[in-house]
Amino acid sequence: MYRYDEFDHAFVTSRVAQFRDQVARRLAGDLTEDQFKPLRLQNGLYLQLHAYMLRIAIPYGVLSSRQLRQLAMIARTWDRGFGHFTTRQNIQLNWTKLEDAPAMLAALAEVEMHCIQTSGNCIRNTTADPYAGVAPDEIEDPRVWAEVIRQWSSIHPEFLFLPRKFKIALTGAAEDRAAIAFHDIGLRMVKGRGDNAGQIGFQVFVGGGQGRTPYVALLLNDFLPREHLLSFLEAAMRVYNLHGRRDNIYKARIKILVNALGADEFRRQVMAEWAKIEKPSIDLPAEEYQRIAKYFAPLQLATLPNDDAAVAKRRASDAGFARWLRNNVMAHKVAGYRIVNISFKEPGKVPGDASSAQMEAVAALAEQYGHDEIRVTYQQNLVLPTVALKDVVAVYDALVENGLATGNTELITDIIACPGLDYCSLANARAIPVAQAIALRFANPAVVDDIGPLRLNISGCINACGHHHSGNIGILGVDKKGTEHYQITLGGSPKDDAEIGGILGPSFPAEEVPDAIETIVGVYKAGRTSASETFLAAYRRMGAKPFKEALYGAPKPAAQRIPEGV
Amino acid sequence: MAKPFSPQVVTANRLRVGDVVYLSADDAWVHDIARAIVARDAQQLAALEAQAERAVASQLVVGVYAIDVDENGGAAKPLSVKEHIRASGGPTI
Repeated sequence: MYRYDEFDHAFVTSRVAQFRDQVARRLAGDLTEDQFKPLRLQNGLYLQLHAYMLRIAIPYGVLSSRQLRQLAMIARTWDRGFGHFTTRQNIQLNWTKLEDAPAMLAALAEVEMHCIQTSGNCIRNTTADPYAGVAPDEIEDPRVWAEVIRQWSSIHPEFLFLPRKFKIALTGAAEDRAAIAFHDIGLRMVKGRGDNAGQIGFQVFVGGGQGRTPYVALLLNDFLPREHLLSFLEAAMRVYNLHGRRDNIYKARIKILVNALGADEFRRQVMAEWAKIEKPSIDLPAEEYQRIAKYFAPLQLATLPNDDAAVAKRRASDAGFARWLRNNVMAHKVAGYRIVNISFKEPGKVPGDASSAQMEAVAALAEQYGHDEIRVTYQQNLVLPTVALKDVVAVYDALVENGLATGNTELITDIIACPGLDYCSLANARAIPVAQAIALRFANPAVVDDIGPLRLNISGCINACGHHHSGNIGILGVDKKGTEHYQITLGGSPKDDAEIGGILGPSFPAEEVPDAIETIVGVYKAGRTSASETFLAAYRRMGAKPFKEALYGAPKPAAQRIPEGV
Repeated sequence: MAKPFSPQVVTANRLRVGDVVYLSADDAWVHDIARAIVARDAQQLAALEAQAERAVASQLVVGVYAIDVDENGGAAKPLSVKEHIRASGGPTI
């Protein structure tokens, strides 16, 4: 992984010192809250429902064991001994004290971490495929470019005060595991065709996002030679910075601009801006690319057999292990190795919450069996990207001891949930208890396996931090005359077939949501053509009608309908 | 006709720690909403808010605002779900 150079160290250390001074001045009364608030937000410190919340950046979701241990220590020393992994591949601590924040930032800096640009109208943490560098379907490791973007976008003088926040995601693989279609800019590494044959470049998508106005990103550039990534991004950002709306926070994201102008006009403006840019002054020199790429050089892995007798024996004798192996352990690009997904979605637990002890357990596993590498997924889980197949049983046993061996990756209980009204001052409704109730309803792993792949996402408000728009089943918490209600959407997808879910009908009170989900699943199971037809495929074939009828009853004949307005 | 005044209390977060507090007697800020001073008319509320602003100016609290409460049965209780969760001192999970 990337290691800070002298500039990085000096910069982060100086920011800690600045913030320590700013906090002292605030506590002494030399700064008002109006003066201080933007400063604390620039250091990731929010004031939430019950306390301050510290949002810590995890660049493209990549952590070392040392860093994860330090996060555990920080959570235990200054917070309440747990953290919450987010859909931005970051981690949040929910019980930070202002007076402790400078010490926490200093502890983060010791392990090359910080909270800079985790808030504000700037380019936020770039997210990436959590299987980067190890996926069999990968064209090129996107972490190198994610790091390039991190360096380019960090304190970029032109882009620290954009019309609104800006999120970039990228993947280097055939399968989109980074939800690039739901980002302000989504990047996919592709092999060139025709005149570009033999080259690797980027497909660039723009204007995706969730929130109150969800859009699937539009194609901006079908093939961008990779060496021009930064100048092209600079051009796109300049067009947005110039024309993005600053008069209305709800219309300030780039998706609004792109869809107001249309993809063709937005593209024309970006290409015109790009033509004006002196590219060598911005694009990364080849030698600098090579320098950064060395940090992400493939591991030198000894060749190992691609089957293991101990694993086969355990699989045959232990249904829990067999399920976990089938659902959480994925193919690795090197024979004899596997990608291990660690679920933080045990039914009944808070999705994405990790105790300090669990963080330390994963750090130890990464050290012992995982080449010191950990990834955070936007689904709020962790990944050990490189584990020898022969070590998989030992990893599983350790995960069982720590309550982390639930075999439910991308199944109905692998629920994405935002903090909701239990923590967040923006929320209208609680998300976590609803997620817990649904997961407990589907706690039987055999039932979950039978349902098959199904993304269920919950947000506690229209800001959609829980990605409800892209859930195969999405749940949105709303305030209905002072009570929490939940609107259900079906048919969303965050992947290559990205789609925004459609609202099924009137909302439900919290206690009725698990029944509603069970009804929806029942319609799917009754209607699927075979066990291999996924929920999403079946929904797309069947349409919303049978699901609506099951939940709300068949529509009344026209003669029985009450005229509108009566 | 003017809307009848709803009983309200003044809440904030303590600056140093961030915990939820309510304005109580003797300029104290307390965790228990039942101990908060209830404003029963606009004049009382304005006086409480002025008192709270002094606490802001002296770096005691931040993010001051008033919330509607229900006094039926004695002690003040928040009306909204959000304020009920805030008053409970932590998440409901």
